[in-house]
Amino acid sequence: MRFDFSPYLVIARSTFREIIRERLLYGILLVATLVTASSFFMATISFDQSSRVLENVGLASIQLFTVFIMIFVTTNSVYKDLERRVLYLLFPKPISRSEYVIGKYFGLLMVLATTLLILGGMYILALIGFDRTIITPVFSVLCYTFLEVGLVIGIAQLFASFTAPLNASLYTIGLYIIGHALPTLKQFAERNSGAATQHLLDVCYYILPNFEKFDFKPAALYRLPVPGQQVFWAIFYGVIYICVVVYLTILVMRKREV
Amino acid sequence: MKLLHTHQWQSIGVTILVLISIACSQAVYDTSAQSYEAAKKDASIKLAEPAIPSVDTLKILSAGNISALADYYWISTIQYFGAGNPYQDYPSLGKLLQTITDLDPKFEAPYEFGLITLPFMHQADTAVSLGLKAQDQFPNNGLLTYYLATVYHLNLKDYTNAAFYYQKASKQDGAPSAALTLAGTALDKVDKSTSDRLVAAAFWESVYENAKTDDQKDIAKSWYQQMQIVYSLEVAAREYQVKFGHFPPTLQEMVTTGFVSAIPDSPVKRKMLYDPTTGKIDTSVPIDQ
Repeated sequence: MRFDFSPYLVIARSTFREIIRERLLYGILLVATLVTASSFFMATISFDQSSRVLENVGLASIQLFTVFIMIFVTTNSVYKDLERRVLYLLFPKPISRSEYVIGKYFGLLMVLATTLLILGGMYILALIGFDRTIITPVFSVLCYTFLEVGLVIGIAQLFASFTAPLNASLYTIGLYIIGHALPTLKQFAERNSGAATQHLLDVCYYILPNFEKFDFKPAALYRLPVPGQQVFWAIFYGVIYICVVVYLTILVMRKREV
Repeated sequence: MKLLHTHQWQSIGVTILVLISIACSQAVYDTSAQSYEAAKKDASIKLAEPAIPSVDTLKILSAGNISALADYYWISTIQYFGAGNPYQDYPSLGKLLQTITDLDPKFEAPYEFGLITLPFMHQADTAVSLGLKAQDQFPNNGLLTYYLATVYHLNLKDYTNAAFYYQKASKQDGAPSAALTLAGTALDKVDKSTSDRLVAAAFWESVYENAKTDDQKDIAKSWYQQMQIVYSLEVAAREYQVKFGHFPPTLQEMVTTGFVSAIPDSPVKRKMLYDPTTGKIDTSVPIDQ
């Protein structure tokens, strides 16, 4: 039995085209480019730490702006589909809600890839004239950023499926910050809090998305070899979590009247 | 013919009076507000000190970009130091460097910068704290160990630790060649106790054995002999004290009474400054001074 990819591809392509036409997206991309470019200036005033600052600040800018852009486009895209009753037209056709959610997700991934290509590509091109030795580590970090933001998109899509875009954006940003802060919070609780708080944070640590798993920037910065096993489990964790949030989104969409 | 009418003179007079009273009130204000202006200036300088949240807060707010945040604070530190401080003490410098190294312990430059500059800002303890942290993060960095040794040596006058870290630095990569020599010098200053003389002598013996050039061997041999001479003289002074109830008034007295055969010349050209109250010999002053 052949698996029919066409509904997913149709939704994905349609999502991609719709988002790429957004003018606001290009405005944000321009700001992101300028902020990333400022890392070159910051490198010159860093007192002999130019390579390090260039790599750190440039990658941080790309990562944070990509997260911001994708949260914004994801929540707005889902909201528009719901608000304009586009789904009324889609679901009577032979497109199930799961096909819509998965297709939408892949469309957003295509937008993410495009964003990273633009921001990361310009950054790497600029590095060619500045410091070529950091290009390979930068490229590897961008790959992990793709996985990390892929999970952020899934979470944003889940929140957008049942709440307004502003709320969905805030929840996603909050979860993103918490997801990065989990190891720090856990250590803080172990040093300063009682057993109940520590247990609660342990539960949160294992259940909430831990974005630190995709953070290989220190390894890239200090040229440390990363064990293959660690890379495998980070990717495995990301893919599993994405599947979970996409599945939850499908469940929400099934319950939702559109 | 009158130049001006009376009312015009009156107007000019009033204007001059008003101007004088304005100038006087300004002068009185300036005199009375001196302490207020000084306090305002002091407060604005203190307000200009960077606000540094706790490291845990920064880690949470960084959203995974801890190294980039460390870089931001590094650039801020350079701007803070470069902008100048009227009291020349940069009170926040130590905290800034501690924050950067807590955020990114592998960031080498703040350790080096702190070990060099903080002692001059009366923050030698913070410099030592940074240096000890660097020992864990960079176990083979001879330069950082050397700088730590110099802080102990020059600022804290802790010669035992200075000698330890000089010696450690001499075995690590990147240490200046003076590390080994300075280790011995620091040991020489260690509180003049006799057993430390033997430790210093043993140290110079090992330096001699490991020296790669003839010059280094000559230096090590000279210091070894110096330590042996001082040790022998101090032991003789103690024996004199046991017999006569007091330390000899001069070193020559020990020759006269037969406790030593002669007072040798210093192989490292140092004065033998003898203290008759303690029986100790200070060899820190060169002969030509």
